[in-house]
Amino acid sequence: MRSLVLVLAVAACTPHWKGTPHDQLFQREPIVELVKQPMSRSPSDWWDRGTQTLVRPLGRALSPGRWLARAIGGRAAQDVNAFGQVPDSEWYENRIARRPFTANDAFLGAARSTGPATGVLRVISGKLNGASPGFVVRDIAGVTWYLKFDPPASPELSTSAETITSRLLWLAGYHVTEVFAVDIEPKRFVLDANARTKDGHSGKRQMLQEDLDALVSPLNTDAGGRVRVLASREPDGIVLGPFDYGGVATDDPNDRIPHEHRRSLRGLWVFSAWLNNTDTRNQNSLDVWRPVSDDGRGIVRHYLLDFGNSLGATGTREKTAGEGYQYVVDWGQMLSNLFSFGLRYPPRFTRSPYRSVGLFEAKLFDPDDWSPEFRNPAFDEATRDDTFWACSVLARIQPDHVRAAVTAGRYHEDGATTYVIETLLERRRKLLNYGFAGYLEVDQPRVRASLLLLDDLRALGGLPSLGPIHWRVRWNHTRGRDRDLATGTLTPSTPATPTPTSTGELPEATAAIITELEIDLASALAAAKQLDGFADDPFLTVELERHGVDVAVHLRVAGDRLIPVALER
Amino acid sequence: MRTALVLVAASGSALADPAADAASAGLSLPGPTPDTDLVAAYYHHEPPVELPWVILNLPEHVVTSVFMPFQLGVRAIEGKGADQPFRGTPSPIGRMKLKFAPRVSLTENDGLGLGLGLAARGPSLPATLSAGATIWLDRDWLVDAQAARSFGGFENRVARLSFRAEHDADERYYGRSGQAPRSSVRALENNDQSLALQADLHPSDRFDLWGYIQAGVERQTLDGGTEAPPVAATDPDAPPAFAATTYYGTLTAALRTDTRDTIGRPSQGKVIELAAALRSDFARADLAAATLRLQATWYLQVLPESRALILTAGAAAALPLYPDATIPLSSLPQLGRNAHLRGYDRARFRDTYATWASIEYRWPVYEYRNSNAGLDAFLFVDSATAFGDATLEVDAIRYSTGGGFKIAHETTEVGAFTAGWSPEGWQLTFVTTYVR
Repeated sequence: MRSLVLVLAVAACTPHWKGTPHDQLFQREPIVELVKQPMSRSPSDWWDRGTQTLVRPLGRALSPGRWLARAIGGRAAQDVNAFGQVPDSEWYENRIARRPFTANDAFLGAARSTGPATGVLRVISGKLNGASPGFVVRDIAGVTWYLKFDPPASPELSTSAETITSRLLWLAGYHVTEVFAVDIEPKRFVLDANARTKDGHSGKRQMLQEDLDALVSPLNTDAGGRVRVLASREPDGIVLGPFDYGGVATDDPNDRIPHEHRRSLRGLWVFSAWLNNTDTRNQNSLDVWRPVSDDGRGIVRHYLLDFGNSLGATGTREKTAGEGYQYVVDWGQMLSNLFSFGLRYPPRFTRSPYRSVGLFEAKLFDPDDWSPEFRNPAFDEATRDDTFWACSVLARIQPDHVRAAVTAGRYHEDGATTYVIETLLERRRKLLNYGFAGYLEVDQPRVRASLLLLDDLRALGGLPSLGPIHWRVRWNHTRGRDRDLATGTLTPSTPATPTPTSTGELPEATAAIITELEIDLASALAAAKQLDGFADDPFLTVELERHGVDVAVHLRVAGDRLIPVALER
Repeated sequence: MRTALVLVAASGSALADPAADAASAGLSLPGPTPDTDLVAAYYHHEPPVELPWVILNLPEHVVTSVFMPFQLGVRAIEGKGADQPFRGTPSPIGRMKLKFAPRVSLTENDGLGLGLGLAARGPSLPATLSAGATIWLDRDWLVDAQAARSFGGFENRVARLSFRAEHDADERYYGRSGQAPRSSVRALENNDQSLALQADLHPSDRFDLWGYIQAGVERQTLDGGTEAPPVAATDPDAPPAFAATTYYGTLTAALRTDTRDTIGRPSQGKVIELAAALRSDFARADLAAATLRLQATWYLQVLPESRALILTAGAAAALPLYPDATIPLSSLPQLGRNAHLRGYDRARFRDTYATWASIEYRWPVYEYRNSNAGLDAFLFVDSATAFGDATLEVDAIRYSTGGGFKIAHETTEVGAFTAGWSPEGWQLTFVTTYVR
C-alpha cells in the first residue's frame, strides 16, 4: 500500500514532458479519418459582419468566462506541443519556421506556375461574392482563375497588395492560393455561353457581353493596351466554402480543435497587423476538399485568401483614415468618444504618399492598437504566448524575403517599392519588440553532438541584444533534489543598423549575424552520468535567464545522445 | 509497436499506415529520427476540460441564440434582395421607381407609433408622389400625401399639393397661458385634415435662399380627449371652436437663408427663417389670426471634424386678424418637446407670444469611414417663455436641459433620441422622422 501511494505520489509530481513518447520540435497533426466530401457551405456574409459587430461583443461582455480568461492571461491554445510549436496540419505548415527560404522562394510564394496560360481566357462566371469587381475564367490548360482588378483611380493598389501579402503569408506557413499580378489583353476574354453572374443581390442570371464590357472598359491600360489583373488560381480539389474562425466543422472528424483555440489562427493577427490585412473574416477563407483514396474519401485543407484589403488597399479603393486602427463598429472607441465629449482625437494617417500604395504607414502604427475591420474570434482569444510564437516566425522572415515579395507586387510608381519595403520592415520591428516583450527570445532547441543549439530570435529579427544570457545545467531529478552541473554565460550579437545608400535604397543584408546560440553540455553530461540514480531519471534541464526572464530547455539523455523534449517559458 | 501507429490506433483511425496514406495525400511528413521509440512524429491533442468554460461562457451562447432568428431576415435581404423596396425598386406598375422608408416615433404620453412612407418617381408620373402613415398603439394616427412637380419654364421651381390628416385623441392641453400650472393638464381630441397648395419661390437647385407661398384649407374638430381629464366645454380656458368642426382658410409665406455646410450634420453656417401666416374661419369671421415667426440658428465649428456649437434664438407672435377676432388654438405659438423646450411635454405652453433660445453642443460618437454619416451625441440647454401680453418677464422664463443622440448623414437627419429634463420631469423621445 505504501508502495502504491509512493508510486502515485511520484507520478503526480512527475512533469508531463518526462512521459513518453516525447514531442518532437516539429510534428504533424494526425489525420483521424479520410472523409466523404463534406457539404458545401454558403454562410451569410452580412450575418457574419453583424455577429462580429454586435452579437458576439454583447455576448462576450455578459460572459463571466471571458472576463476570467482575460484576468488569467487567456486560455491556452490547444494545438501547441511541448516546444510551443504548432504542428503541421491542413491549417498551417512550418515553412520559414523550420528551414531557411531563399529570396526567390519569397518571390514565388505559393506559385507553382507562371499564371494563366497564354491564349483565350474563357469567362465562365461573374464574381458571385465579395465587393471587388471581377470574373472567373478558364484558360486553355483547363485551369480556373479568379480575376480581380484595381480601382481605376488607384492603379496597382489592390493587385500589388494581394500579391505581396499572399507571398509573405505563404512564407509564414499559411495555406494560400497561387496569385499573380499579370497584364492581359482584353481581347483574350471570351464570354462562355453558359456564364452566369449576380444581379445586385437578387439572384443569378445569364452573363451578357455588356456585363463583361462594363467590367473591363473602365480599367486602365498600359502602352500595349493590356489591363492589369490579379489572377488567383482555384485550388485543386472541390471548393466547399469559407471556414469559420470560431468553433469546428461538425462534418469533418479531423477538425477537432476549436478554431479560435488554434495558435496558428490566433497568431495570424500578428501577420494581419504587419501587412495591415484588415479583412480577416470568414468570407476571406476557403475550405477545399481534396480527394485522396479511390473510394472517394479525402481531407479538407483550409486556405486564407482575398488579401485585397491589405497594405493600403480595400479592394475597390484606398483605405480611409481609421481603417487598421479601429473596427468598423468599435464599441470601445465609441464609448471613449462619447465620454470625451469630442475632445479625443485618435492619431490618423490621412495622406497617402503613393497612389498605388494607399494609406499604409509605420510611424503611427502601434501593434497594441491595430484592429481589423471586424472582430475575429481567433484574434480575440490570442494570448501573449500566441503572439510570441507568431513573432518568432515573423523574425525569421528576413529583409531579403520582404524585398522579394514586394518586388513580386510590380509597382511602377517611382518610390512605391522602396516605401512599402521600408514600411513593412519598420512595422515588423515594432511587432517584434511588442511580441518579445517579457520573454527570453530563444527558440527551437536542438542538439548537435554535445552542443545545445538555440535560435536567437532577436538577432534573427535584427533587434539589438538586451545583454548576456546566463545559463545553468542541472539534473532534473523527480524523486530527489536537483543537482547543478554547469553554468555559463552567452553573449548574443547585436546586428548593425542598416543605413540607406546614397540613392536612398536599403542595402542588401551583408553583415554576418550570429543567430544561433551554443551551449556545450559535454561536461555537464559527463558529471550527470556519475550521479547515483541518473540512469533511472536521465533528464537534464538547461535554464537560461536574462533580467529575470527565463526559459527552461529539458533534455533526455539516451546513451550518448541528448534529445530535447520540451521548452518551458 | 511504433509510436505513430499507437497514436493513430488510439484515436480510432481506420488508417493502417499513416505514412503511406499521408504520402498518397501529398502531405509532408516529418522524416524518421533514430529515436522513434521515444519521440512522436505525430502531435497528440489532449482535449482540455471544457465544461467549466462552457458554463462560464453560457451567456454568449444564449445571446447568439436569441439573435439567431434575425439571421433569417438578414439572409432574405442578402440573398433575395428583400431590402430592395427600401433602396428603390422598379415598380411593377408603369415605369417608375418606388422607395419605402420606415417611420418610428416613441415619446412620453404619445407612446409608440410605427409607420411607413412611400415615394414614387419616374417618367410615367406627372409628379413625384409621396405618402405615409403612422399609427400609434393608442390608436392615434397620422396620414400625409404629397405630389410635387417642377416646372422647367420657371427655373425648375416646384409646386406641391399636400394633404395631411391626423387623429389625436389624447393631445395634452394645459390651457392658453404661458404660466399654466402642470396640474391644469387635460386631454383634447384633435381631428385635423388639411389640403394645401405650395409654390416654391426659389429654383429647385438653390439651397442658400429658400421660400414658398402656400394657400390651403383646413378642417378641424376639437373635443374632449382620453387618458387625462377631458377638456370640457364649460372650462373657462377651453379652446376656441371647442366641440365643433371648423373650416379654415390659410395663407403662409416663408423665407429662409441657409449657409450650412451640410443639411444632416452641419458644423458651420447660419439659418435664418421668417414665416408669416394668416388663418381664418370660413363660417365665423371671429376666428382668425395672423402669426409671425422668426428664428435664427448659428452653427459654430468649435473643433475640427463635426464638433459644433449650435446657438438658436427665435420669437413668435399671434395676433387677431380682426379687432374682435379670437386666435385659433393652432395659431398660438407653443413650447414643449420638439418645440424649443425639450424637457417639457408637447404643447406645454401656448400663448400669444413666445420667445426661445438654446445652446447645444454636438460631437461625433461614431462615423462610418469617410462617409460623413454617423452617430452624434449632443447636450443642450433650452430656455423659452410664452406670454400673453407684450411684456417679457425674465422670471417667467422656463429652462430645460438634456442630451441625446442623432443618426444623420450629409443630406438628412435619419433619427434622434432625446432625453430632456425640466422641473416637471423627463421627456424621452425617439423619432426617425419628425412626426409630432
